[in-house]
Amino acid sequence: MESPKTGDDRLQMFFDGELAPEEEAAVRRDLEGSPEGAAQLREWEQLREAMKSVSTDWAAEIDSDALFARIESEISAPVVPIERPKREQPALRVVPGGRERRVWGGVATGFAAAAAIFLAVMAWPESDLEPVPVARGSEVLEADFGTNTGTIFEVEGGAGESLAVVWIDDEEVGLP
Amino acid sequence: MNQPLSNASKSKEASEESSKKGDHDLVQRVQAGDSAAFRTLFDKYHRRAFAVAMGVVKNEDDALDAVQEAFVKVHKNIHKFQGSSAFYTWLYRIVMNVSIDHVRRTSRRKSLDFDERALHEESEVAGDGAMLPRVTNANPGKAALRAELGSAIQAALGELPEHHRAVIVLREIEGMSYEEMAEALDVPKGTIMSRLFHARKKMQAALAPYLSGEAVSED
Repeated sequence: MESPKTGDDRLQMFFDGELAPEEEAAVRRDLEGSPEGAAQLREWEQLREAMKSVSTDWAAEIDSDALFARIESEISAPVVPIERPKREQPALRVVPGGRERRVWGGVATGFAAAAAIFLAVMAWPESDLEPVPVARGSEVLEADFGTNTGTIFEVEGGAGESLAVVWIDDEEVGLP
Repeated sequence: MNQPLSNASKSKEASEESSKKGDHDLVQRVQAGDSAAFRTLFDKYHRRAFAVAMGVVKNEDDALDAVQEAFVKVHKNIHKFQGSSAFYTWLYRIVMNVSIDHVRRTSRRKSLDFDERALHEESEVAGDGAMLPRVTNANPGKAALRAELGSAIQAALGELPEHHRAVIVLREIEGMSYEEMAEALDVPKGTIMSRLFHARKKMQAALAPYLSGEAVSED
């Protein structure tokens, strides 16, 4: 059910041709004794005329073919994948024999872990402190250290902090 | 005085019905890949879409960009258009949304000072309170006066909140019904009426020097 219309609503709906014929006739009768209502309608009418005439001028200025050409070119343009800015890579280079060194690095990590476990076990009876956590090492990166090569290990310290351990190989690279 | 067109509105409705059917056929052809049909739809609506966009954005370039973006969106999404509403209602919704986005993106309001100054200057020029009849009737200075009025209207529109601007533009420039506006803007009909009333009130206040409220003489 529609809510009851105020005088302003009715007048506006009358102006916009949104009333049913019988309501329209009633408003028309009311307007005969209402100069304010009639003046309001004239102002709305003038506003409408002004907006229409101005909008006609706006639209007359369009170069339709040029606009359609712009639309067509955008529609037919191939979808170009978005180029992401290249991230700056660390100055690493492929090291000959890197795989073998990774294997040895793994072995070294194993030894380091075993040593840490051994120390923890040896220290256990004399200490009331919490057991020393086992240092866990994992290879995170292999880097070139100039003429020598090395491996960076991330090791968890006793206080839970993350430590970087560098293992520098004796082997020189770039030499025949 | 405005005459609500009970009889005339019937013939208008009939022609709108046939236009809607024509649009529906064109849409189906575009959906089937007919680019000529797309051009026909463009030819039919781009000027009106431009006028709507001009009512929302600040200048011609932005309005052209908005119309371009709207038609590109129409083309890309036309397969989603089911025909449950009129094509133009759908198009104007897109134009309106794109235009409002445009305004938000470029809401630095660079030209506000200029427009306000222009509006005040025009107010002084039009101090006789009866400029509009002279503008809308044949007159030697018509073009210049219309240009002035155009600037004043754009400045006044620019002062309205977006939702008021959208409603008054669709009603006064496009002549859309409350029902169509409610559909295009996705708000209840009562909201449309309220927004329209307030938008008119603000426009009347801003354009007071141009709106005499007196009957236009026919001489």
